[in-house]
Amino acid sequence: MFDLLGVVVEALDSENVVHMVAGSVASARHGEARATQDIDIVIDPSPDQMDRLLHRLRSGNLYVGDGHAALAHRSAFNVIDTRSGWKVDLIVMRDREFSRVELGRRQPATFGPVETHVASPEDCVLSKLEWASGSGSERQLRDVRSLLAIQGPSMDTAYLERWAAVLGVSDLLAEVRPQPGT
Amino acid sequence: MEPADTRPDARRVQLEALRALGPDGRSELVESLSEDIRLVTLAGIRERTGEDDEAAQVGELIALWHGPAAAAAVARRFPAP
Repeated sequence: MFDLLGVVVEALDSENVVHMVAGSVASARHGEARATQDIDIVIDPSPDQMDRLLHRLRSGNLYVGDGHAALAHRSAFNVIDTRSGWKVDLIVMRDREFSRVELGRRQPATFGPVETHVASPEDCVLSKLEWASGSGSERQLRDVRSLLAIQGPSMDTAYLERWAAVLGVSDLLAEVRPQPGT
Repeated sequence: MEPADTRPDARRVQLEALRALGPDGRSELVESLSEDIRLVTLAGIRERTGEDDEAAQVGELIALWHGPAAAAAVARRFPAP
């Protein structure tokens, strides 16, 4: 899985596209490790960078989806390694303050031999709470509980509370936070 | 809510072990768990379909994991020889 991550990160770095690993791989890195079928990477390319990125990726055994449409709609497109079945979802950063702040707070990280960046633990929590708020997913909340338990006091609680209020997930944050004495 | 099949004391041990691994160790665990699941899935596909061709097995895995639309798009771009 990290082989494909390495190929995609190398292409992103070559075109100077700001990016970070997010989603389940990021939250598993900060919290409870679990198996996954794909890797989410948030990207913030210009149209020219997207052109060059697609050209770079469209070689060998990679299937590459419609990056131009993803950029126009601020959505995602797939890169699939047809030899292994692993998939990377390249997600164009949403045009909102939280997404810009989140990408700005990315942290250096290594995944096996791959040096890249990853969403911060706080931003993983906020993204999962936002996802859970829309989907009602108990699994997302379980992941957040594990993440909070493993990170412990190193979490920036003021940041969490501030952005939970902006994103409308303060109630969910209160629900998943460890109670005193637990 | 904690996992229903794990006692609280066992859960504490589990969380402590995950904490001790550190971020790089947890990342490696993600890759290892994911690769194990991929190999088990491919073995299941081989058993169910009797398919010997590795590329066809991966095509089935892509359909199973990423959906029929993704599998069809990949097949259009990389048609079987």
